[in-house]
Amino acid sequence: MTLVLKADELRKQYTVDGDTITAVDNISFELKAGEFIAIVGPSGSGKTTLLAMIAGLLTPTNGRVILAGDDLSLLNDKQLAALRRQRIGFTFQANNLVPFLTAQQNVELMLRLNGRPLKDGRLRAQELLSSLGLGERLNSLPSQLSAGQKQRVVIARSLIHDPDLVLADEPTASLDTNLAYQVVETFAELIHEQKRAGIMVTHDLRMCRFVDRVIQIVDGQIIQSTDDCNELEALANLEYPDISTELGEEVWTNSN
Amino acid sequence: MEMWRNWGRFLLVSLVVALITLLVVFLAGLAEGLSLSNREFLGKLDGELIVFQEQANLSLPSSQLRNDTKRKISRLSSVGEVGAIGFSSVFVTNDRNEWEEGVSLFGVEPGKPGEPIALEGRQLDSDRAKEAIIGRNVALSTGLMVGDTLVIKSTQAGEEELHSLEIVGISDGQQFFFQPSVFVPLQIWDLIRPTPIVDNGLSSITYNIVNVKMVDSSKEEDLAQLIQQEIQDIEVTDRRTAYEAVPGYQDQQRTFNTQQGFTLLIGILVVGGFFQIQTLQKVGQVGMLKALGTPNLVVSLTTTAQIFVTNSLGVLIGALATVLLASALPSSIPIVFVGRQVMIALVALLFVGPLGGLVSLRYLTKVEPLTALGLSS
Repeated sequence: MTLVLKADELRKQYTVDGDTITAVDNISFELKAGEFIAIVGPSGSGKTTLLAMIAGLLTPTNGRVILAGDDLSLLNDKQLAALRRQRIGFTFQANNLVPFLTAQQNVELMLRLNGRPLKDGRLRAQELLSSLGLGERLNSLPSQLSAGQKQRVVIARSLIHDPDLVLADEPTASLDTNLAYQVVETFAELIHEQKRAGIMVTHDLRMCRFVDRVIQIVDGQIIQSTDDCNELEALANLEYPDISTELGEEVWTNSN
Repeated sequence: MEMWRNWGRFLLVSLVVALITLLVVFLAGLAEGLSLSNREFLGKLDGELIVFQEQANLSLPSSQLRNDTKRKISRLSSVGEVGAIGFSSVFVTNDRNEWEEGVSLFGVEPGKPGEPIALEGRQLDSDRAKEAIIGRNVALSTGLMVGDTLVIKSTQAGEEELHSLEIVGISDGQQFFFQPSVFVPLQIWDLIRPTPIVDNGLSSITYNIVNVKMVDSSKEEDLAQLIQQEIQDIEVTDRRTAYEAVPGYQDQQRTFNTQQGFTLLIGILVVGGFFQIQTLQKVGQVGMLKALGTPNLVVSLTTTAQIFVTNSLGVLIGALATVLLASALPSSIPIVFVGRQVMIALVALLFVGPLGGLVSLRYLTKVEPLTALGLSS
């Protein structure tokens, strides 16, 4: 499979009141087309900072990100914006949809930004939304959609422009358990089907069953990278009780 | 699209801009109207230069020129035509004495600079003809027409005298000193103008100013200097300087300009405030759009277009409302909407939105895409 992303010894340090804080510490991994991985860890572990560096939103203190052969450190702001627009699909925790655009228009937005022909794109957006069960809600405004429906619109938007890489930052943060499972399952299916590379940042270990690999981060460092969901959970439960405390006992009960 | 979905919010701001426009254009129209009432006659003189008595400080009523001044000026080279003009303030009525109206009475030489063009009827016939050309404002306010008799009421040596003149023509607006104007031949004016009880010699003054039309109007300054050098006790100036020297004219204009300036400033702050609040509400959304790869240019252009449309709509509504309001006001309120001041006010109003929106525009371009991830650099 084609290599889509290479994170090479990424480090991000901040200086606050004279003290140096290392948010991400020497993280390296690779991601191939058709592969969906989760980056998990407790709050403040550096997951989102890592995601921001991969997306070219934040410049690493050390290391580099290579996306489909392009070294992001060599690109200027304008080129980085173009790269995000053309080759990355995004979903965020909040502020996901433009409130005054309909579901279909929100999805088409990425095509408009990329200057793609809207006639074909319109049909594509309709198909994509229909495949996500939103065929009846094409003309609904975000305020008229449920949380789960909104997240599915976001998924459609992140895939409509055929990106090489799809990045999802806590996509299930505002969803209840059942809905969270449904959304991530759909997301994973589409990523696999369309042979995209996907990274999902989450602190919810229950989602690991839908991904190919899980990278667990604590204090900015990778402490585990595994494709065995059970192994990850057992390890987390034993060695990082703070994580299980944060997530609650039911997580582990459900997973086991 | 945002404006379409949230039309109520944007329309509200447009209406605020419309009210500001109404106030600014109304003030500008009033300033233009009052300014015209004060200077229209001087501004419309066909001769480029006006000669005053030196000690008169460019005041037309105070200026008293000697009989030979005009003759001396007309002998100079580069001088084309010369016309003497006399001025007094009198009351006029019709032949049945049914009403009375104060007017500026001008004595002009038929066929010479100073005589207005009759848009209706004909020009004055001769120096001694008992005829008058009335300004459009006199015709509008009194209903007099060409062929009617105009009666001038003039106090001469303490007695009220009535002088009947035939109206032979109607000119365009020729107001002066906030009064409409009537033009009669200079010699007739000399006979009918008010005179003091005790003749202190002023009654022998036959005119107040001389209007000079040049052969080559590009040499205005040179000729003004030449006239000034050759003839004693006079002051030569152009039309603009002459009407700007009319007592109260500059103060009045400054007052109106200050009012307009403040209103425009309020407009800038209101529009600026609205778009700034709107921007602050959209920081997260803009951050998300930028994270998706939306260029700053697109964000700026979208906002600029919103500001421009909101503001222009407001200016349009305001301008129409002002015209409607003005048409409903009595004709005695001097409002003119075709003047330079109104044009300047409208152009300034079109810049109110963009100026007000500059701060929010700058703020928008500074929003970091990282905010979409809840981070900040």
